[in-house]
Amino acid sequence: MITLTVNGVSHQVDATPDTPLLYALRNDLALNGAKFGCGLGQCGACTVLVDDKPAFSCLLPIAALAERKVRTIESLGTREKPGALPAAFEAEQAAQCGYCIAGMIMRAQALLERNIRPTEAELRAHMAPNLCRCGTHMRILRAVRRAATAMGGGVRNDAEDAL
Amino acid sequence: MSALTRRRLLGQGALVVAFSLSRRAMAQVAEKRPALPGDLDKFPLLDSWIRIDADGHITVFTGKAELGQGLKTALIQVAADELAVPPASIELVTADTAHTPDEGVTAGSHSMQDSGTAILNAAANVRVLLTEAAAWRWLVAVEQVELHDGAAHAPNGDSLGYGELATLLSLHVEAKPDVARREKGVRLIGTDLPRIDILAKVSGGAAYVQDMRLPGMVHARVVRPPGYGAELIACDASAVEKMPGVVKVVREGKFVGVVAKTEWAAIKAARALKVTWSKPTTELPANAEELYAYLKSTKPMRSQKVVEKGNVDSTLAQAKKSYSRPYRWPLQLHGMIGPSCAIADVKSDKATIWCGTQGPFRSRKNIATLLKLPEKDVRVIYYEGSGSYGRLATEDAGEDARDVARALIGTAQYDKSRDERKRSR
Amino acid sequence: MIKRTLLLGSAIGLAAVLLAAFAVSWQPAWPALANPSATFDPAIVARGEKLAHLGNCAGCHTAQGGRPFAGGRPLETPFGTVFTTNITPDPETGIGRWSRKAFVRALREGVARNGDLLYPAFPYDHFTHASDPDIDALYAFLMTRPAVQARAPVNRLKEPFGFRPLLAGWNLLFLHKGPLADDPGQSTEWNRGRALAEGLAHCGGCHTPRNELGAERSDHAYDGAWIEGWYAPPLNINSPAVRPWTAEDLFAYLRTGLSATHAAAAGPMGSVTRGLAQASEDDVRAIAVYFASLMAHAPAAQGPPPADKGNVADAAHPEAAALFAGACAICHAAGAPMMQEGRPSLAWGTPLHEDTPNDTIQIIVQGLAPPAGRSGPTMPAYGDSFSDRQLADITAYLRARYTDKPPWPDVPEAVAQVRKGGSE
Repeated sequence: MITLTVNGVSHQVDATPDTPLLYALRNDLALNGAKFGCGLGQCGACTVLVDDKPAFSCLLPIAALAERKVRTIESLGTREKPGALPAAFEAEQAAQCGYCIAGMIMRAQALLERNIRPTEAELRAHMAPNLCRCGTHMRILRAVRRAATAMGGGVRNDAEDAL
Repeated sequence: MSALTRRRLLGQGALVVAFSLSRRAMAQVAEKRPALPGDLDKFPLLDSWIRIDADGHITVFTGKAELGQGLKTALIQVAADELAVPPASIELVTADTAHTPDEGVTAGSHSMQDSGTAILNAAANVRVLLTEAAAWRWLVAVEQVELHDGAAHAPNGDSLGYGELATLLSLHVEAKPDVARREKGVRLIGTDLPRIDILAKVSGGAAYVQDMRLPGMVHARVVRPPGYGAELIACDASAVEKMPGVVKVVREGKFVGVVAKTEWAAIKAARALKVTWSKPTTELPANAEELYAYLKSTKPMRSQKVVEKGNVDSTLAQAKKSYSRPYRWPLQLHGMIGPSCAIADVKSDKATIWCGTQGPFRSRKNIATLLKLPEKDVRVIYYEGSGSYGRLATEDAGEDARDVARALIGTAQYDKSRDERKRSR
Repeated sequence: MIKRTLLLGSAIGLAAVLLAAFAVSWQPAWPALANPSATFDPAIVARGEKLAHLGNCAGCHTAQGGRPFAGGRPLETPFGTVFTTNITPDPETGIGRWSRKAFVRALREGVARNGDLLYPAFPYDHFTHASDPDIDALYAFLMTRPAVQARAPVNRLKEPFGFRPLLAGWNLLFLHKGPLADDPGQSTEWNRGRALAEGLAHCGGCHTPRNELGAERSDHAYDGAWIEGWYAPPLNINSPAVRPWTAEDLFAYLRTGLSATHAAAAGPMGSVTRGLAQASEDDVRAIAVYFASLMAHAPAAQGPPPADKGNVADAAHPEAAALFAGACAICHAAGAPMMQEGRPSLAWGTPLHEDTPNDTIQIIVQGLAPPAGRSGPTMPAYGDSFSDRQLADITAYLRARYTDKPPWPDVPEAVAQVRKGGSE
């Protein structure tokens, strides 16, 4: 039995210590947000927050999570009352198949919690590890910019193009 | 034109029954019915597409699949527009071999053309029937009946809900061609409807086949050959069968899969399984340079002229200036961000499979053949996976799940892993 | 009487010394180019571009997020921080007014156009060995780059190292000017490789240990050294690699950043191999031939590579074994697709066989990531996934599992150092 603190709640999970967090979230805790995309830390569909930092849950064994705080998209509000990022993604209709989106939102959440006024270049570099196969990138960026503004900040244009 | 109801006929006319012992008269040889739009032509009965329950609940059926292109929302929008109901009052059922028309494969941006036009016209037909039923009920002219907000409204203010109207008519009738579109009232088509599925996807709601959890469900992974044409030489399952959580190692012909109680146990077991394959008959080119050389030198299986207008060669020869440049497009994996996933519940005499196949009816045929069951006893239900871009038009997760489940006679959820997707054909 | 002679003698002696020092340290300013827009042969510019990649000029002369060659990148040295200069052809803030002669003097002698002595953080002690045609090509390339207005921040050097004329003494001791004479007993390719390695590629700049004055110790050439938190391993008979570095293996590694018989290029070598990927193929081959010859008889590579001792390591480090199984095995264990596609076993890579655990820890913490938009060996960063204790445990586990060497004695301290962002 391993203790996992997810979205503020402590759970006893009956899984082997080497089980990556993703499978504990999806199968033991029945949380749908984080997704299996590659299982190799290369697509970001499994992205959650661990101690406020984005992490590939497919590569994070639960044995490493004893004192750590895990947050998934389920912690960002509900369908009826979505948080800033989910609401922005809905408003911008920023999803095609939507499979990557929960990972995108958690990744963006980490940035906006740390820096509510990132530059455009910082935003794009931060989101780079998460892939979207449908090509929804422009809407995703619009949604994050919208959420940043809604949270009292905003994404700034860079003074000159970064290379 | 008022509809002829039973009451009218029996009250005002006579019933004469006749039969003939001779062959059909000329006039009874069916004339070829004029074509109906889209797939309505193949499935002309209105209740193949639209049903209205006595309580007013409207269900619209489509044989197409929501792949993230927003199809569910669009078809609801079309039906709601023509039926003059709020979109939220429509339940849309997507491809399900037990319930929906067989509209083939969802591909090629054809869904609005095939299914959208069918539903639009079916809805127009239904609208006309509802209008006529109301008009008959109130004994007013059809033109005086207004439909909006899920009800028919009389000039004097009376109204009848669609549910009640539905009990007065049958939708098990063929659609008529050239039924006019609704003229009056607020239009939905041409407005921006938000997608009905995005909110669930951004709040952790169940949205994909990967989110399905059935009681007693086990997990499976398939072990694939390293390349096309590789044959299975040996499979040593002894160590893996003893791994904790492993239920069974399935081996049938060239198919090798592991089943386990948890997904992680299945992944580990699949990795640990010692399988020996023969060398693939086809070697993929080692790098991009070799790939282009291979493509240029290999003989095509089929050449096809799509369009020919005028004389290209002579026109080019007469050009003042001509430019020639090779353009090479990098080869991308025909992959999906969410590997193909299916759930199979196989009993000895029937099977149900949920998967993201773009062609559920074709999948059903294949699965029924492999299970040696009649098609009617196999049900394939489309359930959304990640966007597939044609990769699931040649879907094999469904077949794999079936294989695994059949070995267990039970329910298995099978996820292709990313590496298998690369190697599977 | 004697006292006065002594005083006079001392004064004259001191004057003589000062005069000599002045003579040595003073360099004239070359005149600025009046009209800095010469045209260059495109073939020479193209050659210069390849040489610039080989020498990785952009690697130092580009700040993070800055324009290429516009300078501003801080280089940490034991003497303080030196900021790289703008070598775009901007007339005011770059080298736009530098004549070819001034450029040659900078590379060969470490002297700027205005006569200032340059800090050997700019490895002119290597570039001095470059050939005339190569320097000409570099000049042509740099003078045809887009000009960028950018002034480097002022260097932050500890006293008295801010006093440039002192460098004259350093040069007297450590600068051996001019191209090297060919070794007649070696092939043309080998000699070209040596000329490049000692010259533009300045490999010793990272791989040769330095003395207290910051100069490379020529008696320990390529014996390994520390750079930016990484240990650059020996490239000579002391190479710890457990598989031989043949010229083919080395060429593949330098050219692609990945060796199928060793490991991927990590840390600063990532940037180096990305540059070498765009250099002349013959030049990279030559460098590979040279270093393969230096490492040809390294004892570490003579025996068979170590086996995977999974069971032993699992028993000794059960917690780390679980962490490895969940975090690493998915790519690095036998059944993984990466392994089936010919990636090398962890046992073959050099980091686990070095005397220091530092590089192993760095790779786990930082991962491998090519720059955005480019492809290359990729590994997620695990720095945020594991605690210091877990990192130390995994590091010890890897050493036990994939090497035949004794355990590292100082793993927790090494982890702490890496976390601090420093090196030894």
